[in-house]
Amino acid sequence: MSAYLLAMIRGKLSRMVNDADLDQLVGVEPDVIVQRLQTSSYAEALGEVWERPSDHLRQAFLDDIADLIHSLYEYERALLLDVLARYRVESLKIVIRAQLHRVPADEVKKHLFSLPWEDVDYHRLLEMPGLEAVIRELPWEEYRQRLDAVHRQVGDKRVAFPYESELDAIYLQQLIRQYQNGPMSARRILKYIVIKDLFSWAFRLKSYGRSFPELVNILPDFRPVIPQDEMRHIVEDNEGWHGMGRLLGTSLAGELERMDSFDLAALEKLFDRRIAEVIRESFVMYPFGMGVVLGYIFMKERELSRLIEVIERARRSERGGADVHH
Amino acid sequence: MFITDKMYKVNLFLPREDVTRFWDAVGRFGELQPTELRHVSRLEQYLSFIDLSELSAKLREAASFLGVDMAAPLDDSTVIPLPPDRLEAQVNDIYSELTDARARLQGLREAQRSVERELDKLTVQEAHLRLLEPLQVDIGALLHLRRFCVLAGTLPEDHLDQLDRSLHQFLHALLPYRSERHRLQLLVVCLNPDRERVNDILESALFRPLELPEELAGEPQQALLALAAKREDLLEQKRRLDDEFAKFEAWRGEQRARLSDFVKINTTVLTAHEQTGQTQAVAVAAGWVPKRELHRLRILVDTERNWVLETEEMSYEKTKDEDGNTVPSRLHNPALFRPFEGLVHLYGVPRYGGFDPTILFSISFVLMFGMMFGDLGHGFVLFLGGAGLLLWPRLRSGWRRTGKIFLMVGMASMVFGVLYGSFFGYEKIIPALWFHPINQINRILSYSIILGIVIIVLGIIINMGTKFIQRRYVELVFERFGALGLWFFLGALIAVYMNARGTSVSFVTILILMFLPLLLMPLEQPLKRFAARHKPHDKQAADNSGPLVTLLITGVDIFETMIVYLSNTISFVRVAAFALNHVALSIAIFQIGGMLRALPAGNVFYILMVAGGNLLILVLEGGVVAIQALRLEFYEFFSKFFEAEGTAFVPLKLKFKKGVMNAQS
Repeated sequence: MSAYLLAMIRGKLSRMVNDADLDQLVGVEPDVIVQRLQTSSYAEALGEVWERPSDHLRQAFLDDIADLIHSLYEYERALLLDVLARYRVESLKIVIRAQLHRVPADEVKKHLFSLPWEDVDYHRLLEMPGLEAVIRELPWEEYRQRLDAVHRQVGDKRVAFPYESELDAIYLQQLIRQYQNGPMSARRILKYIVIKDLFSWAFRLKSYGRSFPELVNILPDFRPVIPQDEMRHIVEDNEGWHGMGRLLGTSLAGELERMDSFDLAALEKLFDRRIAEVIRESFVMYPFGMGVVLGYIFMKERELSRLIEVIERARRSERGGADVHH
Repeated sequence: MFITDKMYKVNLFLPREDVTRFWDAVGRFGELQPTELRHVSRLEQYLSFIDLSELSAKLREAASFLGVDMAAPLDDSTVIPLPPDRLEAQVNDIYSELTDARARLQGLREAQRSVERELDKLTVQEAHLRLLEPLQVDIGALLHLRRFCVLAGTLPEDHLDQLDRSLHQFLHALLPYRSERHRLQLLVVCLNPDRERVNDILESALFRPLELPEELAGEPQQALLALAAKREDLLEQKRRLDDEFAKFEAWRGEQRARLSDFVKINTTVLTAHEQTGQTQAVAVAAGWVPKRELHRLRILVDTERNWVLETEEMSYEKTKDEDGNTVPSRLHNPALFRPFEGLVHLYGVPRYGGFDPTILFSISFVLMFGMMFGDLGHGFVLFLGGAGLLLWPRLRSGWRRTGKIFLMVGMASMVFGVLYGSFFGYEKIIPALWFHPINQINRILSYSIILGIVIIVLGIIINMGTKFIQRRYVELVFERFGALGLWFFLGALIAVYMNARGTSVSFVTILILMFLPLLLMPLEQPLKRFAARHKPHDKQAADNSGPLVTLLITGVDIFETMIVYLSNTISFVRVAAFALNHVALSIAIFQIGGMLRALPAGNVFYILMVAGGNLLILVLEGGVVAIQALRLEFYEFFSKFFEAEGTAFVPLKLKFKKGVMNAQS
């Protein structure tokens, strides 16, 4: 990885809004938030931030990350693109839902992100005549084949779930593949990102009444990151979730044990903390590795989601205040 | 010819029982437009109206089911409409017959759909059964085992391993036997009690079961033979249904031929009948008749002893009668110019008593088209196109009218082509009888401006004439396109001409020629208000604006008048521009063709280029020139005088085929 890229990331890291700053912004006036963000990478998006803030901030985030891609070597770039495929999957899900429910393209366009590293016109996909045409038009062979298989199965039924789960499966499958073959500096981070996503998804599917054998077919082949028996025990058995302690490390396992009942949101937060730990370790052990890039992206995503939360809260209180005033 | 036809409002009184016969006669007369008496409040308490909407709806429904072309002329002139009471009985009989026919048709369609569905299903089953062909076993027996459940289907290739893992807690076997287009064809074997749960798991693995016939027996090959026999049966059924359809269509054709005239004449007459008011013994009908046809109507009415005609001439000053009905405008032009009426109607229908510009429009449109698109060859193609449309059998009258327009613009194009010396873009094949526009650009520009001046002056004169006929004298003099407007325009032209000739023009001359009429124009509104004092009901003339606002509006109006005249005149430069454009396009095509000639087989490319280029000029430039000519007519000519507030005269007319009418007459 080039020294230039590392310097760039260090610079970007220094401009991030840390947790303490974010805590301070909770409940303050919108003007103060804007002032604080002037020195961040979101400065350019501030003008539009009060209209659909999450969309604009996410787009600013994507533009920020796009800078990194061109400075990477080819295999590193492939890894990063697999990680960023999450945004491709999100966009495709929006297109599929719009196509299935025949939502006018103009209503949906504003929610689609422009992915600077991809040469795909999602707006055009929205305007295609039917889902079959969309699938045929996808430039990625694997996506085409697998979505086509789903389409054959689903037929004319207007259900988005099978397509969405297949897209998620493709995304996680790629990450698992990268975990198996990628550089050491990135492997542990990837492993925990995959595990977190796998469990979130598996527990959600279980809550929809899916049995474990069905999950095996829906989820990607997870055995490289967790044995099938262990997965089955955790997901299928009523108290199996305690078994995740082994994956969370000693300190966080204690917190898991103290949980009275299963709480998916709390569990996801624990995994986020675990990933943050792994990133910190990776920064020390592999200061020039891909882990730095992945770590930056992970931290940036967390920053983004907290920022959106803060801004949304400020907007709501401003609107509420105005209503009271009137 | 130039003013819309003078109209008469007519009221007709006749015995109630004659109403149908009367409207039949009026339909054959074909020059009376009925008016609605139902909404005339002063007659409300005296007249009653029969509601014939249900009967009319039934007739239209019958026409729609039988596919009767209501716009087409009637075949038989001896057919007569029936009075409502007799008509109702007949229509009810026809309606019930058609209801049965509709049910029969629906039954046939459903049967056809059902057979098609069966055939589709069979196609899928055959395709799926072919997937099982490699298995030389009794499929029927295999799929109906007592203890084991065998499911045949397809699965995405890379799902096999996952499926195997997901089924690990069930006794199962996965038996893939072929792979095609990334999908495995396989048999899944499990125990019958596990069937339901295994099915859920299979579904989650995107397993797609084959659709196989219930009564499947023997090896796939045998089953396929059985399906082929079934297909034959279904095809036979389909053929029988097709025959039934053909018979039905033949029956429908017979009914159409039998009832077409009956439906058309009765629908037309019923529409008028509904508008006829009635007392206990007498029926009252009203309508509009052109003055030139009134005597024929009188003759028609006089043939019946009990029919009474009352007429009232409508003066051109009025556009509405005392009941608020708009007096329709009937254009009356010689046959040569009639095809252009449609183009005039694109702008609107002139108000009653307004000027009918069709003839002037036709002449100026053809002239401008010729000037802009002067080419002997291209004109000849347009001429041929027009002749083709005219001679083509069984074309609707709209196409024939278009053909006539093509014929005329084609001729104009040919004439100007000879004058310009242009033949399919070649400037040297025929000599120019007048001049080549590309060589004398200033000359063609001057001519187009002169043409523009003539058309604008003509527009103003027409406006003045119309206002005179309508007795709108204030507007005649003071309006922007009235006498003062003409004074200003001609004065400005004289001043420009004198200046161009080097004659010094004094300030007083300019003041008199140009600015005096402009300063007098604002008097229009005060004079109108003055005139309105004698008409206490004319509230529209009242104006409460302050002096400052009035002054401001006056200033803007004067400025606008100058701009309008200037821009209208300059607008005609486009006539020259398109004449030059035609030559320039042709030159460009020949130059490209010349470059292509240097290539191997260059002559072929040259011919293709020149032919394609000429076609492009013909279609694209021809279309643009037509639009531009139309634009000049509408914006620079019609805007001077055309008040498109009229409604077209639509008489009640029973149209008969030509031969039939001749025989009748």
